Formats: sequence, C-alpha cells, structure tokens
Amino acid sequence: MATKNRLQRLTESTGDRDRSGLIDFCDRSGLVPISEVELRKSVRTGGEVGSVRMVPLAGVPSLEATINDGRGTITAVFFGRGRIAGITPGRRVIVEGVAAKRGNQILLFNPTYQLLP
Amino acid sequence: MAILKRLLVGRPLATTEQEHQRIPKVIGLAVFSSDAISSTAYATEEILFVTAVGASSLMLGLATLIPIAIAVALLLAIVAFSYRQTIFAYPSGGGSYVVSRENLGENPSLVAAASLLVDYILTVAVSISAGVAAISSIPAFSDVAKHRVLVGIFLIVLITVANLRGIKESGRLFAAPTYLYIVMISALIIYGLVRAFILKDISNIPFDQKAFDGTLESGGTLGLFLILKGFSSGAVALTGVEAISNGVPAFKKPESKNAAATLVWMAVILGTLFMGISILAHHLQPYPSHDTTVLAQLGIQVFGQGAVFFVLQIATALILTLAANTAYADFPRLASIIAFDEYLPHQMRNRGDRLVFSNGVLILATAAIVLIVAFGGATTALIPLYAVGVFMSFTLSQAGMVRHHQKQREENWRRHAIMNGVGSVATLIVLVIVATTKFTSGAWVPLVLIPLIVLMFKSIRRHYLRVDRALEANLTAGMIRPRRNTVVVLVGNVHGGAVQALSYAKSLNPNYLVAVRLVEGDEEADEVQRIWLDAGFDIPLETVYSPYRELRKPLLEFLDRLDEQYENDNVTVIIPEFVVSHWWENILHNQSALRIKRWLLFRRGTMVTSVPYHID
Repeated sequence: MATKNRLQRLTESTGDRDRSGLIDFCDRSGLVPISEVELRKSVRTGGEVGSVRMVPLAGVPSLEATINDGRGTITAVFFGRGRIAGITPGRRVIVEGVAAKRGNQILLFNPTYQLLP
Repeated sequence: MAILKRLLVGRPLATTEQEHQRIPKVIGLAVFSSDAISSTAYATEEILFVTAVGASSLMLGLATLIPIAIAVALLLAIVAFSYRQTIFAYPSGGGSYVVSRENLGENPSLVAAASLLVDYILTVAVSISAGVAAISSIPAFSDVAKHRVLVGIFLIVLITVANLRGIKESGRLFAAPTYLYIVMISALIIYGLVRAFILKDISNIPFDQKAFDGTLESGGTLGLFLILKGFSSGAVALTGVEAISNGVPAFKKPESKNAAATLVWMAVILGTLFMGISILAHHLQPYPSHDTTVLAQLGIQVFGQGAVFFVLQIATALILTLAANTAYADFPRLASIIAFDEYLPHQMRNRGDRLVFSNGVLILATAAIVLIVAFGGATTALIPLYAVGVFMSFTLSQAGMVRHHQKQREENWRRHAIMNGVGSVATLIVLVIVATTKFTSGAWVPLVLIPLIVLMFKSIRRHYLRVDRALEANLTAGMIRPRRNTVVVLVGNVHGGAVQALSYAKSLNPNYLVAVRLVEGDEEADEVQRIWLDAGFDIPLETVYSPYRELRKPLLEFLDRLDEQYENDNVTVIIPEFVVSHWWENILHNQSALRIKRWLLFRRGTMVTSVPYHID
C-alpha cells in the first residue's frame, strides 16, 4: 500500500501534487473550502494566489487577487488600493470577509487578509 | 531564390495568356504517340530478358519473339478499335477516369485514376532509364552506364524545369524526334531485312558468353509461364495508346474524326515497327544485355558503328525523353481533374506562374526520381511494375464504354458494345497474366500501391466533405451577432514593443482590456507592478503565477477563467512580435510568440493578433 502511494507520488502531475498539497494546507489551517463558501455570509478561507489583477484607473484603483485552494477559486477585491505588497502570485493567504457573486465569480470585498510565509 | 526561379521558370503568365492551340493530325501523331511508339525501343529486349534469360537459351528466347509480337499486335488492334469508339463517344477527352466515373461509379473510377497516376510515374521512370541505356549503348559513351542513375535524374530535372516553364505540348519542335525515330527504325528494319534476305551480306550478332548467362543453342526449357511472362513484357508496348483519347479536344476540327484517324495510324506504325524489330532480332540473334541494348546491337550490325548508328541512338534517346514528357502533360492534368472532384488536395488544381499544374509536375518528378534511384535506373527492373496500371485502366475504361453503349442505345449500339466488350475482356486477360506472371518480380508494387492510393483518395474526399458540412451556414443577417470583445495583451518585459501592442489593444475599444504577465514569484511581480504604476498606464495588469516557469498551462488556465466570466465573448490575445531585419535574427526572437500562436490556434473562440515591432 505504502509503495503504491509512493509510486503514485512519483508519477502524478505537478498540478495534482500542488492541488493535494493545497488541500492539505487548507484543512490543517481550518479554512472553509472555497467550493463550500456560502454567499452573503462571513467566511474564513484561503489558498494560493494564482494571479493578481491591478486596475490602476484614476480615482478608484483596485486590486483583485484570484485565490485557489485546490477545490475552487475565489477573488479577493481590494478597493482603493493600487498595490499590496505581499499579495503576489504564488503566495499563500488567508482571507476573511463576506462572499458575494459577480457573474460566475465568487468575490470577497475588502477582506481582512493574512499573508503566510 | 526568386531570381533563380525567374531564370529557370520564366516570368509569370496571366490567366488570360492561356492558349488553346489546335493541332493537325501530323503533329498530333507525333505528340500523342511518342509514348506508345517509343516502347518499341525496349519491348523486344524486355521479352528476351524474360524468355531467353529464363530458359537460359538465347535460341529458345528468340523463337518466342515473333509469336509474342503477333499476339501484341493483335491486342493492339483490339485496344485501338475499342479506343476509337471512346474518341467518338467522348470528344471532350475521355480518359479512363472520366469514362469509368460516368459509367461505372466511384470505386472503379478511383481504381482507374490510381492506376493511371502510378503508370504515368512509371512512364517517366521507364522511358528515362531506356533513354539513358540508348545513350550508353553508343560505344563512345559507354561510361554513361556507370552513372545511369545520375544521368537519369539529370534528364528528369531537365524535363521538369522545361515543363514548369510550360512548354506547349502541341509544339512543332516535338514532332521532329518522333518522326526521326520512325524513319530511323524503319530504315533499320528495311535495310536490315534487305541485307539479311536479299543481299545476304550480314552475319549474326557475335554471341558474348560473358554478357549472357546461358547458352546460344537450345538446351534449357521454356514453359508456358515464361512465354506468358515474356508476353507481359511485350504488352508494355501498349502503354500510351490511351493518350490520344485523352487529348481529343487538342485536334483540329472535326476533332473526333482526326483523333480517330491518328489513333489508327499510331497503332499501325507501332504494330509494324514492333513486328519488324522482332523479325530482325529473330534473324540477327541479339542477346539481352545491360551494357548494349538489343536495338543498339541491331543498329551496329546493320549500319556499322558510323554516323547512322549514332543518329539512331540519339533519335531513340530523344523519343524516349519525349515519351517521359507526355506523362508530364497527362499526370498533372489527370491529378487536377481528380482534385476538382475533391479526391486529391485542392493544391493539385492550382495553375502555377506559368499556367501549368506545377504541383502535379513536381510530384511526378519526385516520384519518378525515387523509382529511378530505387531500381538503379535499370529498365528491366522497372518493367514488371509497368503495364499493371495500364491494363487496369484499359479494362475499366472499356467496361465503362460497354455500359455507355447500353445506356445510350445509339445506332448499332450492340456492335459497339461488343467491340468494347472484347477490348475489355482482352485487356482483363492480359492484366491477369501480367499480375500473376510478374507478381513476384515487381507487379506486386502497383497491386499494393493502387488500393492504397484509392484509400487515400477516399479519405481526402471524406475530409473535404466534412469541411463542407462544417462550413455550411444559413446566411441571414441574424447570424452576425454582436459579441463582447475581451482583449488580452501578453506582456513580457515592459518595453517599446509592449507599448505598441497596448496602444493597438486600446484602439480596438474592447469591452474589457487586460494586460497579462506571467511571473515566477514575488520579486518579479513586485517589479513589474512597480514599473506599471510608475509609468501610469491606465490598463489593468494581471500578474499570473507560473510556479514552473512554463508559459502554456498558466496562460491557458487564465484564458479559461476569462471565458468563464463572460458568456458570449471573443477573446483576442495580442502578442507583441519583433520584426528583425535579417532572417537569422529571428532565431533569437519570437520563439515563445510562435509557440503561443500554435497553442491558441486550437482554442475555440480565441483570436490571436500579433503586433509587429520593427527593429532596424
């Protein structure tokens, strides 16, 4: 059994490995899986920042970070911020806020966030 | 490159410059019969290669010459009469493909087409090999034999270039070699027979024990199989007989009548020359040899090694080259007809700069060169491959004519149908003989190749039909729907090239515009974000994580996410691309741009635009 697992680990794709690593991390940190986030309720979730969209429009700059926990994707939207040091692709973060929906996207507006090393 | 092409091929011709020249019978005979008549240059020798070598006895082999010649002449008469009817029934040109397509249906017509294509290639390979042999048989040029393959390839390249230039197949220039050959062979036969039977001042060709593997006298055995196999070799003389029926429209009015008369003349000349050479050979006892052709041995014995012999050999080489040239007219034309029916790639029906079907010409040349190299330029090795295709197409075309008469029920249709029926059965019998007696010595090649080509035809056609169905659209104004346009600019380093791409993207006024940069980690992301903000660009920048420094997966995943966000939108991906002043500088740039274009081509609903940035 153990050998089989090890073999699987050898052959699995980096994507699968990263995903299971993320899931493990989120479960250990006691985060709500993104796939189970309910709308209009406060939620504490997190994962890895996949991409950061910087919208430097005059007046209302904003920053949108796409966070993925291996089970789903959520977008954290920070209004009034052009850039946030540390919210960069590849970083793991914990975010807490009220979930909303825009199109097919689940959003957290101005969540509190915690950067993980 | 362009200059070289211009020099070799000449200036491009406008479509309107295409000429439709009509030719009189005298020219028509020379143009269309060079293929058929030229086969007399090697047919006798090929019979001997089978019967004399097979029986290990020259005498036994020689004895078969005249009976086989009679059988071939008979077959020739049957086929010629059959084809006369095709000429009248299809005045616009009735090749086997056309006749069998209209009367027998898809599969037979494809078999006919494949057979003909294979045979045209062999016509080139066989004629050129025999032509090279004619030259190397001149004692002064015997060194040519060592470079048979190279000389053959050189001749093919020469003919190919001439055909890419577009030579008028009706050119008077081409009439000369055919008539020169007819005159020279007639002189050889008449003078030879006069010397043999009236003057009685000619001796047999000295027998060379080293050159011929067998005895002079009878001794070996000659079974029916070998005789039939020898007959199969003689039957190659019929290749090219169908050429006139293909080219009826090229004749002066009345086309059919002139073409039919020319066909009869050709059959008479071909039959007479073949018979004459066989009788002369039977008398003078030449032996089949790879160094000196049978025809050259006869020439030396009758004329001596003087100027007349030289002219004979040159005329032989010329008519054989011309015979190869006829395939250059037929193959591309047939290929274009097949391509119009969508069984071959559409490229085959495009006329090139000089109004010739250049792609067909090039494919024919390549295939013929492959054959010459593969078979070492030896006519004898190629002959067993030949004739299968010809007789296959004869059989199908004559069978098609029988159906044609049944459908038309014109006056005397029964008699005409019987005539074509006899032709069809006779050529079918020959086909079976050729295929069985020569199967192991090479006839299996076309027998394997023809079905494969037919399968290829069908899969090409299937593809085109599928494309046609996929492109089928109900053309209404409502079909052009407004769609949202999302534009993604791929940014590497933020430099002049990226700025140009971003300005272009803005000018498209997309519903949503975003610049994308793949990053490996924090530092890179920080840096590019800072540059972006410092420059004060008012375009959103998305930094996408690429943990393994790869391009493809993060990019495609990003686009997937974008697709999910909006229904009914087109995503245009804009890639800045360098345009450098030297081609080799390209190696240093644009490698990822090229790759990205390739990946995105297969993604539905994604357009790729490359924005050039000129670097001088």
